[in-house]
Amino acid sequence: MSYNYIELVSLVLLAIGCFFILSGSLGLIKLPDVFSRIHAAGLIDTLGSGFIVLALIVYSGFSLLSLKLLLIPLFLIFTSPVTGHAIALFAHESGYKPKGKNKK
Amino acid sequence: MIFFATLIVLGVSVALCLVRAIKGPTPFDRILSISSIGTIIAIGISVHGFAFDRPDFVDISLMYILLNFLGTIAILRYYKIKRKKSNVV
Amino acid sequence: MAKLNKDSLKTLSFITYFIILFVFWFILSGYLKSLLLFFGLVSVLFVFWMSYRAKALEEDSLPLKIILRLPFYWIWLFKEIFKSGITTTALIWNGKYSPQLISVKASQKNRTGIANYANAITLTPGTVTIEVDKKTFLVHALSKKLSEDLQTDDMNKVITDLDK
Repeated sequence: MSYNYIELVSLVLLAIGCFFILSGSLGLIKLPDVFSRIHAAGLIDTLGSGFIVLALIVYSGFSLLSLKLLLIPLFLIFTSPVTGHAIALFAHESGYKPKGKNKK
Repeated sequence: MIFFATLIVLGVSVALCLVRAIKGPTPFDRILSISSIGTIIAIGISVHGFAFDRPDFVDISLMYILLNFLGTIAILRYYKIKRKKSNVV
Repeated sequence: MAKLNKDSLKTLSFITYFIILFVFWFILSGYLKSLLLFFGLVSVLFVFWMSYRAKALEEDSLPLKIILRLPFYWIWLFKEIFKSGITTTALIWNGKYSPQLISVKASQKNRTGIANYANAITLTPGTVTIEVDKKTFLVHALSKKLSEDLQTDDMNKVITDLDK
């Protein structure tokens, strides 16, 4: 009885975000080599954090706090590709070759 | 209540990442999974702030994301420099 | 905007950078007293001087033409991230991945455009830019469908049109 719409919507968004984070960290275990695991880490950084922050914004309502919450995915969008590209570049320079067929 | 369930799921995924950080054959696997753990924990800090009705924790979460990025880049540079030196000697 | 000469364009970009910094300070603190606003102004001026001294305010770094089109581009980018994220999640759960390396050509004119394109490729889950030569990227894709999506050049056209 005590559930209202806002709580229900944020519950659904939290569930979607948890699903993406869980599948990202599962991919971190399942995928075969470094270059493939970067995709799984990118999944956690973009979609998982985005949906959970969206749920928190819906739950708290619009105020200065929700603007502050919007800064979290903004920072992640700026920093996550730099980290992924740096790890891929250094792993490639150190001589690890990706598995699978390589047509250059 | 829903935030406590979220925190439990985040804890399980941190444990999954930790398996890769312990097992990982190359150093880059470890760096990647440590960086993912940092992101998950930064999200978990703000969820924890909502669960205990103290939304000021969002500031700490923002700082955690920036420090996590700096730490990852610093470890990568350190590893590269160390590798270069050991090749020369 | 084409009528303005180079100096006034530079001044305009300085003013835009100052406004962005001050809005950022206000979101982080949230104070409205006059003394604290003055302290905020001092700290924003300090950061402005530091980034001017570090030569971070050259002509390439804050292109004003892009800023007006940025919200539409970000909405398009979020849609793209969502689509390829769902594809990547399905690949992780059903295990039918076949990783492969491809090379992609970029047609942007300046350095900002090329960095933007490489960033967008890395940001969408499922494709990672490994190396950047002058105008060709070495891209690692998780499956054949994702690499074919990249080779249709949709993303390249959108980011090239951003700088027109």
